Amino acid sequence: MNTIKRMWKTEWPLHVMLLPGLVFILIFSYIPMAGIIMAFQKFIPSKGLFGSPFVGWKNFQFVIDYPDIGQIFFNTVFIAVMKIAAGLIVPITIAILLNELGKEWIKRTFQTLVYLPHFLSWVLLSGILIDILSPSSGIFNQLLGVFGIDPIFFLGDNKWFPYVMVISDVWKEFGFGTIVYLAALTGINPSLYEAAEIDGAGRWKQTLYVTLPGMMPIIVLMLTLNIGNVLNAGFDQIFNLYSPQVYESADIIDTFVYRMGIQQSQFGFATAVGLLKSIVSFIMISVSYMLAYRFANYRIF
Amino acid sequence: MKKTLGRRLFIGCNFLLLAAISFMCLMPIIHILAISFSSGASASAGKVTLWPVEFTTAAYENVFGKPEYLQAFWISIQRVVLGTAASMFLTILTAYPLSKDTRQFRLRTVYVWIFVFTILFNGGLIPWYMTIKTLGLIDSIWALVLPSAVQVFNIILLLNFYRNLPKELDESSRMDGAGHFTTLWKIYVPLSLPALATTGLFTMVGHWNSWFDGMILMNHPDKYPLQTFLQTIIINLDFRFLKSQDAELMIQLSDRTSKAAQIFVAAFPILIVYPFLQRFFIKGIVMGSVKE
Amino acid sequence: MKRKQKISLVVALIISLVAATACGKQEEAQKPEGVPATEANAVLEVSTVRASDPYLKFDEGEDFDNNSVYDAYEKDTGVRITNKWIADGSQFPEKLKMAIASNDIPDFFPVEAAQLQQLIEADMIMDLTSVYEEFATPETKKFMKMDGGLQMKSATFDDKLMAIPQTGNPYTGQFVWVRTDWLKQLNLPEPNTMQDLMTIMEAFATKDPGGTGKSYGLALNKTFNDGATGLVGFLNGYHAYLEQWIDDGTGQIVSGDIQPQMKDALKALQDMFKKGLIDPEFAVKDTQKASELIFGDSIGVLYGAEWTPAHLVQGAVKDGKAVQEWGVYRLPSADDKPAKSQIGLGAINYYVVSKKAKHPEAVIKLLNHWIVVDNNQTEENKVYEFGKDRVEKSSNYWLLNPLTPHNQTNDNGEVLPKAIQNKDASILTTKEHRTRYGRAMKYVEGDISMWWEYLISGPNGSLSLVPKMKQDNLFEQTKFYGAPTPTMVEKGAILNKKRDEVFVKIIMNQVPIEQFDQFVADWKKLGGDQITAEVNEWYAKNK
Repeated sequence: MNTIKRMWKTEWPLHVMLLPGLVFILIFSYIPMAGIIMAFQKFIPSKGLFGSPFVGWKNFQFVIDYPDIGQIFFNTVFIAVMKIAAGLIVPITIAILLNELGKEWIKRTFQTLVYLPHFLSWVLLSGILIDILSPSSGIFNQLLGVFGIDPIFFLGDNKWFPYVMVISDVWKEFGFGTIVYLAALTGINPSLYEAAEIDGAGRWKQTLYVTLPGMMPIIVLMLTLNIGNVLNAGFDQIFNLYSPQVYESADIIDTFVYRMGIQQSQFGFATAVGLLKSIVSFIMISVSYMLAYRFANYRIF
Repeated sequence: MKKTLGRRLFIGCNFLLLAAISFMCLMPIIHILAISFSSGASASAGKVTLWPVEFTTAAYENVFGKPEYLQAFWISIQRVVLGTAASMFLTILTAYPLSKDTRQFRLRTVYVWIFVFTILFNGGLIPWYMTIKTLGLIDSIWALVLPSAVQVFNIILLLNFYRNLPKELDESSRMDGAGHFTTLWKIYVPLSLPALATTGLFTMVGHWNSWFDGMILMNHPDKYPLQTFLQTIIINLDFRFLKSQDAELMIQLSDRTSKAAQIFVAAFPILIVYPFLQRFFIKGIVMGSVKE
Repeated sequence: MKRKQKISLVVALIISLVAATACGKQEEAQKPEGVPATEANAVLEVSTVRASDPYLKFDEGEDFDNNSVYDAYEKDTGVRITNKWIADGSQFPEKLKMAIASNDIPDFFPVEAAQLQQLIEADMIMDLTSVYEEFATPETKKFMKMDGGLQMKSATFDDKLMAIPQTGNPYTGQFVWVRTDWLKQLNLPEPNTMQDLMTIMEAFATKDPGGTGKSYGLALNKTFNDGATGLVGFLNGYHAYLEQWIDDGTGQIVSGDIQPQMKDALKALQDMFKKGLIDPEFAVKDTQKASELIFGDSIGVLYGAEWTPAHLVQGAVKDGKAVQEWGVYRLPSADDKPAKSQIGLGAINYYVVSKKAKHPEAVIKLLNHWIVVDNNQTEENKVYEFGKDRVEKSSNYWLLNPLTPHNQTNDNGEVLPKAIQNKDASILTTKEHRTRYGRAMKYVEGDISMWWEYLISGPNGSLSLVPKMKQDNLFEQTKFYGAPTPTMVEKGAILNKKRDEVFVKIIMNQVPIEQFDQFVADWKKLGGDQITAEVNEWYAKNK
């Protein structure tokens, strides 16, 4: 009892600071979470969340019984994992390279330019991508032609489609992704560089032993949070770019749920899929968190 | 200091590489800009690449001629200002206690997970909508601001930056008898400007770009924020279900140049925010303060 | 220091307060405007939801909530209409889905067929049988059954009328559209048979009359059942019907997707693909993207609905000049039997009435009145079409009418081409006649921007082909118009996925045509047989 009282005496301002945020998430996140029970129901609007009949695991069973589910699951993870890896490496590299630019205005110009594609929607970009990747007239295949490579139907070929998704996604988002790493770079103590230089470390060594370790907390944080997206392969992008001939390699969980939804509004089914995805994210993030804590004694957040 | 040959070579190559990458990112923007200044017929025929074909400003006249456009624009501005203010206030305030270690704040890990949990699990659209409706926020600007006021990702990001601040600063401030609130405003906030600029940018961009909540939560189109309003124009017709009566509608909606112009006018205000915020990315800001 | 802490606390409190007051104000604002008690006795109030339309232009001082059309209804029928919410047309379905899911529906509103089924299951809408019986006028009852009662039947479940269909003309088939200037240039005949059309497509692809260096025969896009640049018209030429339930001649109905005619049609498409008559990238393109080749003079043949010129105009009219000439023809057939164009039921949406509605009869009164004013225009009731000044000014005021069933037996094809050819406005009877006639006349008088209307309604327009098609019964109407069956709901998505996948691959010559047989076997196994059984069970009951 006493320890609690003592704790409260010193820590109460910290609790108070959290109060507004807690109130907000209670209202706008935790209360609506009651909707998760729809995953176990056949939701009937007139009966509401608490009056709709329960159907047990039927909604989940339906997902598992779906004939192509194995392939859909594989496609999702395959595309998502590549996106997570590339989405981490590219922005970090570009952030470091941008940091090496001497002139401040050049750096800022490039920084702004690479962040532009983030603001274009996939609806719009899909039209542009179809043009530049076209096997007959696209600039990309014309370039390949210069090297004597036969035209490739990037968007219509199951071998290429997932990679096109990853590369185009990275292209769209890496500029926006660099922002957080550029912010992390500002936190590195300049005297560390001076010390390294005195020790005779070149630029490359400095990057390796000062810059990267200095960015590490943010890198680990971003990696952990992104790992939670292992079942999010990017609905908007794939929905706008896929076609029946590449269903084999392009159909992901979200497009599957969407096509199911056209038939009727299956709230229970959609919620069940959402819950499954949440649980996987939760496990992935928790495991990363535990590992970091266990082996590096470091709390990611 | 003399630069070695290798270093110079690197600087040159680095510049060229980044220039090439920037160029690749600029291309589609130029393409859309070119479409917006082209005639409708050449845009529909796919003849426009990087330069306007049959130059005209008709699309822009059309965009600015719509009264709804300015109205929606104004709502978006309100939304960004209110939303960013509310979000940043909560982010700064919430990240501080969570950045303490368990010795200083025993329950922090529990609290962190309470927050993290909300980005992993959600009950779906319907209960979310019903909650907001029960609160009577439908049709109000607050419906666009309050539900997303707590940005857990930003909080976690900021708490990581807070943690990187030297412990001595915190301790000396507490020694001077400053409470937590003073320490936060006087020491933490000024020293995390790059992180605050980053999270602030994320919040602004998020508010500016989101359109779905505007559509669900507003009962009258004259209350739509800009991106929701744009969706009403950009969304493509479903050609499977068109009726003869829709012919006239089709003629208007197929005007690609207006869509391009609208995108451009919509994105521009948010694009200029970033270069402006870049001035807060100051290196060595933390160390400077320690030396003082 | 304590003081500062307090300040921060106060700030936090203020935020929550602002939130709270915002809520309070909102509730006040949302209450319907007060109705004087005396008036309330006489006037029935019903709420609905509306989709806004970019073509609806309000008169000064009017809006969706206060306008002369709503006022006229109140004056003439004693029914006051209120709007629960208004959403843009493209976002209306999403918003409505939300309203249904949160059990927050207005007194009456329009839904799609699938939603109708859902609302019945959830027991949210009213059985209208007796209300309709009592309050619908004989004129209304006759009007709603002009098609023989099929559309009304589609709103009837277990002998209960659960909705009012938004009736419409079902005879909206597919046509083939060909560049006539190219036909002349290459000295080719009009496409009367599929063989003719093949010759034309081959000539267009090889001789490149557009001079683009990249020409194809037929425009297609990734959505098979698209209204323009779709596949349906072509398939119908082979007596194959996509996503359609057809009579197999023994009194059973079967899915058109798996019939041998479909295999023939796909084979033909594969051959065309091999000859380079189809853009190899068609399967990644949507309508607009695929149409770039048409607008840019690379393709001169496509299949499309009667409104196709409104799409073609993007490329056909430039700087006030028509730069492409198009002609429209009945679907050519691959054999000696004439091709039938597949059509649906004609009812577009359904108006349903909430179980909680206090005055369901008010909805029927609105319906009665709409049918009167829409079909017998007088000077007095022009307000329902044009607003209070009763003058046509392209403001599309008729869109404000909350229930708008259209004529099921429209005679546009019989009337319009004749009227336009003879410049004779006297034979026009309906509102649509007049609108279309007016636009076509503008074209005749030199306004090239109305090019498209002339190609729809003019003497050689698509509508002019319809009377002959009706006369010769060249329509294949769906035999199944019930609610989606349980297996359809469950397996429909996977069956359609398999179908789209194999069809595209066959057309693109990635798999041999024999794969079609494999698909048929899979289709049956994966639930198709079950669906067929369910559909036939329905058919037996509703023949």
